[in-house]
Amino acid sequence: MTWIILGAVVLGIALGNWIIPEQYVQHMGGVTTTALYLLLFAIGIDLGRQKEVWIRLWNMGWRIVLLPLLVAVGSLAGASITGLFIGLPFNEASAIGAGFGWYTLSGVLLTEIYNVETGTLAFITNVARELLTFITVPLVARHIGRLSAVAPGGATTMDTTLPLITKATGSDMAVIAFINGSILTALVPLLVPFLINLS
Amino acid sequence: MVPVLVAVALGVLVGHLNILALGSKTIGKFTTLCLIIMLLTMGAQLGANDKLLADLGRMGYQALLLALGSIIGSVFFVRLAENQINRQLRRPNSEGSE
Repeated sequence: MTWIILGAVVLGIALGNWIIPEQYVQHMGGVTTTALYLLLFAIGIDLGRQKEVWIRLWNMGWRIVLLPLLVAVGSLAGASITGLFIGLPFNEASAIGAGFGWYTLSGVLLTEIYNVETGTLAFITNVARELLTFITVPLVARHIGRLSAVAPGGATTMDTTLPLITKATGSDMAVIAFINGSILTALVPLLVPFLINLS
Repeated sequence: MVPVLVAVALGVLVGHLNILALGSKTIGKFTTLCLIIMLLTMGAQLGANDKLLADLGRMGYQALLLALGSIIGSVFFVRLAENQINRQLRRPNSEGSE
């Protein structure tokens, strides 16, 4: 899947740079808008169907929600502070941080509702977050704490980085990491548009 | 912003009530197709913008810093409450469940 995603972006860049005339690129808005809303609708269906997540959440007690909330607050704070240093306005830096590692959605969402520059930065940032997660999780698990080791992965702790986390922390963290990732995944399509609209 | 939320909310409703009799695999394939269309056009817009293409190096460096900042921030906040969350998780389902 990772190769399909990167292949699509690279192919798009090649098409835009050499093949598709510039005036056509500007007129692709209708297609992408339709694709975006269909995509969000499908993501919604997926979220609505995940009843077992809510049942697990209920069984563990609602206090487990504190973990993804802290991951969310920390990600937004970290990205916003970094934004101050590199000269990015608060709405852009925080919206990029609200991708929580889900690079495909944060990238295309910001490209569509804001601009292609911020969308591209969100895409690269969240790819980097996923890659850095693979490096940092074992280190955090060993030197800082087992729960803290769930934090770097953000929304990806429900799928791509879940095996890594259970290997570094223990299999009893699997359910916690999965719930953490599910809640953060649900927050991405809500927080990204909300934060980018703050001026 | 409102249309984005409405699209997600409609999806959640349809998924929760199981209105569309589509399998998870079909939804997954459909999501991938929409994503690929959007990634292609995101790439095309990027490729058609020479200024932005020339800026990719700087953006890579910014992206690395933003990713690091997000990771450090999230680990820091979770670490602050780690002991408290652990204590609550060890407690058998008290108030959370029935």
